[in-house]
Amino acid sequence: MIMFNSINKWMAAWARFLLIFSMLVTCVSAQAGGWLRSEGEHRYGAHLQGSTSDKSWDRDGNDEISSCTSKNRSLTHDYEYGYSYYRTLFGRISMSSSECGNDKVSGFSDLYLGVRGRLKLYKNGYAWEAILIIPSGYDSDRSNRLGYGEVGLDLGIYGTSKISQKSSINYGGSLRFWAGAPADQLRTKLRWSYRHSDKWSYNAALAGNFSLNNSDSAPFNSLTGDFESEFDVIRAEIGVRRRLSRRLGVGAGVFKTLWGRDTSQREGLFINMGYVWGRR
Amino acid sequence: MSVGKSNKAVVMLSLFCALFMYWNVSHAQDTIPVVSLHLEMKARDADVLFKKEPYDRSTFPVQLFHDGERLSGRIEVKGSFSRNFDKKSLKIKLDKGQLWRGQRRIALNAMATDASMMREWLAWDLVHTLGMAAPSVNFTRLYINRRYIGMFLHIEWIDPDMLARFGLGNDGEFFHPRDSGFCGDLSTQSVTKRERCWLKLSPRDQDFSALEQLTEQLQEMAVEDFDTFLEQHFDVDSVINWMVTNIITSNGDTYNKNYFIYFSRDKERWVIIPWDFDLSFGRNWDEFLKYPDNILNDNFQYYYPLELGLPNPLKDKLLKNPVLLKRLKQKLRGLMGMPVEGYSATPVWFKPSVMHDRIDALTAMLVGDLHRERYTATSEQKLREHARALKDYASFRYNYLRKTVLGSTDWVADRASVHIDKAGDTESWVDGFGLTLGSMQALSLNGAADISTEVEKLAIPRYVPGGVDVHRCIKRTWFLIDKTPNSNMKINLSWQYLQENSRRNEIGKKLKDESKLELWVLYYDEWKRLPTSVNPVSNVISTTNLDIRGGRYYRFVACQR
Repeated sequence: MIMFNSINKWMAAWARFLLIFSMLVTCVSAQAGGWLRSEGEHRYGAHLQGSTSDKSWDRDGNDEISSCTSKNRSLTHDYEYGYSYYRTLFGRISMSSSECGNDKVSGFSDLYLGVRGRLKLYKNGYAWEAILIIPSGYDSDRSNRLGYGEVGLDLGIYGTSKISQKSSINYGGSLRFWAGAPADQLRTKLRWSYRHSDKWSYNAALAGNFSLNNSDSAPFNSLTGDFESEFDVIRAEIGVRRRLSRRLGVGAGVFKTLWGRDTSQREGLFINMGYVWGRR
Repeated sequence: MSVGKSNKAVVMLSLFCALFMYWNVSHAQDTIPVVSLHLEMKARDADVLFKKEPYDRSTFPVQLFHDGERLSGRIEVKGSFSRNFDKKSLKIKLDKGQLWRGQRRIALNAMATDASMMREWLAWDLVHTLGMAAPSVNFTRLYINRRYIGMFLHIEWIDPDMLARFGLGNDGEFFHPRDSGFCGDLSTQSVTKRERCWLKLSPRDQDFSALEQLTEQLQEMAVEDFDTFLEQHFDVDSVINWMVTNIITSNGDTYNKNYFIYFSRDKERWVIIPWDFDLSFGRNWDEFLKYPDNILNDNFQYYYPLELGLPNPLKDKLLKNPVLLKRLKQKLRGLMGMPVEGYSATPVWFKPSVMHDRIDALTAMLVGDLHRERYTATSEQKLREHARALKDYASFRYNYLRKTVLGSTDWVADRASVHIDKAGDTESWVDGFGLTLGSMQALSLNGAADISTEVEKLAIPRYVPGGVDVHRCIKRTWFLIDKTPNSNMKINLSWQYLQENSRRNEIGKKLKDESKLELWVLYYDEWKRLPTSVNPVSNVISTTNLDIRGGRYYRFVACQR
């Protein structure tokens, strides 16, 4: 109710939040990478996040006090469909808001459309992924923005290994190429999951984004320290997940950036849910 | 010249033997109808279908060849736990307007949880023998891309069109207890909780009023009027035959699930259609073990009473109504080849000798195919072991029903006697509770004899051979007494022991491998180890060529050294 009282403010912060994590969070979201749906199976996921930042890392990785405290929120919708045993199609879009001092922005950020294929013919959890990133029409010239405003292509591979009866690791990486000024990026992730019971599981993840230093421009004028043309960051996340039924699961967790260059220092919370239907 | 002649004779003799063996096997195969199903798929899809992760639900395009026609559709793995086996059960759904044997859906059961591969077929054969409205069932050799995949059981898809074939119309009310609910027991509560307990298959609406009315009537109807009620509202034969099938096969996994109930508008009667016999013929559900061991266990039982299975007013009131109970027993007698009052049209199906021949024919047919299977869930040794156990089940269950249900008994436990007249006689010791303690076959004897037996059950043997750990023994001691003075005979002998579930059994706590059990007899104050064979499925331990003298008392134990 408090949120609804200041809906514009909230939306602005929300949109801004997504801006940052559209690159980072997707790497560590529960369903990203590796997993293919059964043919004819659908999955919808919703991911709600909030984060704050009042500091950044400069080009050399030193702390810098930001000129304003930024508050980001986002609601990400993702949908996956098992087109065949061999291919899963997926799409993802976020409604985001970002707020820093008096500067607020909100709206849809980039649209992700992707295809995932098997690396191992008989075993799930090993996959390649190709994602087309399409700006949704937001203003990319402003200092507090929802994305680069450029078309991108992300090519990645992911894997899953069981390390014991109850725990597994999920790992992988991708190269993200941008059509315009931003530097291309190497993105990595490592996630450990532990199944406590049939219903409860815990997980911890590290995700990294490293620019390839081939940008076509000087650093952007970014108010919040997000979406610089070149930046590096490593982020940690811990979470818990509860299976409510064969089809429905919910999760929650916290995250924090651990190290970076030319990017904001952030910490935040998230809750998410996933619902599967079709061939089950 | 003579060498040439003798070679010729050997060749001719070999040919004769080969022809004789071929005739024997093919003759046995002739008795079991088998159909062939030829599919074509992309080679990669055909490989992936069987090797992908068990719970992936993907379907793949497939083409089916039938009578020179090419039908197209999609194929997928079906089932739940059985998905974990290499040999998967399959479902084919043909494209709209395309039919194979009159149906769009084809279910192929891999029989992977049944090492004998014959329990389901046997149960359906009984159902068909009883003339029930039921799906057609056929052993089916499946070929994909001209390569033999394995033997499957094709069970016709159950839908109103199938029922129409039996003159029941296809416009009736069709219900099925939900598998996961365990509550479709025809009680009034089951309809109150219908979301959990029932599925309406046809028409596809939410009108459960017919079922609701039926359950209320079943609840209110007095036992003494139940025969009249059943005549008015049910195809009575379908109910009695359903119960008879469950009784013969010891299928306890029903009455609250695993059946269909259909109201035929044409007949204005309810009809029961049985379903799912994987836990039958001696296999049972172990309530003390976790899934899937509660299903895939080594238990064996044959001595459950008529009331076997969960409460259900239809079953419970039928068994209490004297008219209906008599009718049910008449049906059992007919199937078992026992004398019946008046005329019986029921074929003899469950007489041990008939069952043994049927199981032998099935074994010959299945073993012949087994080594060619690309994906298999059993082995020849396991199949033969289970087939032998099925024969034991048939004998033991027959003995039990004949003694405690259809005959008279003194209710004396753990002891029995048999009379042997001549060589070749085979007799079982069946106690007053219908339990088979063992059996013997006289190979030679010097005169008629009475042989008695007693058992000390569910107890660690008091005496075992020196050096044998008593916890590696079966917790049963068998005694054999030849009461006839001066008798002298040579026999083949089998003893039975108990393994009803993981708590109620006679397996010694350190006994790891039942197949390594050895039978010992205390003979002139000395333990003697006997040549032994064990069927760990039916819990039968046997020896051959054992000498028995009149007036003597023999003690037997079975242990693993």
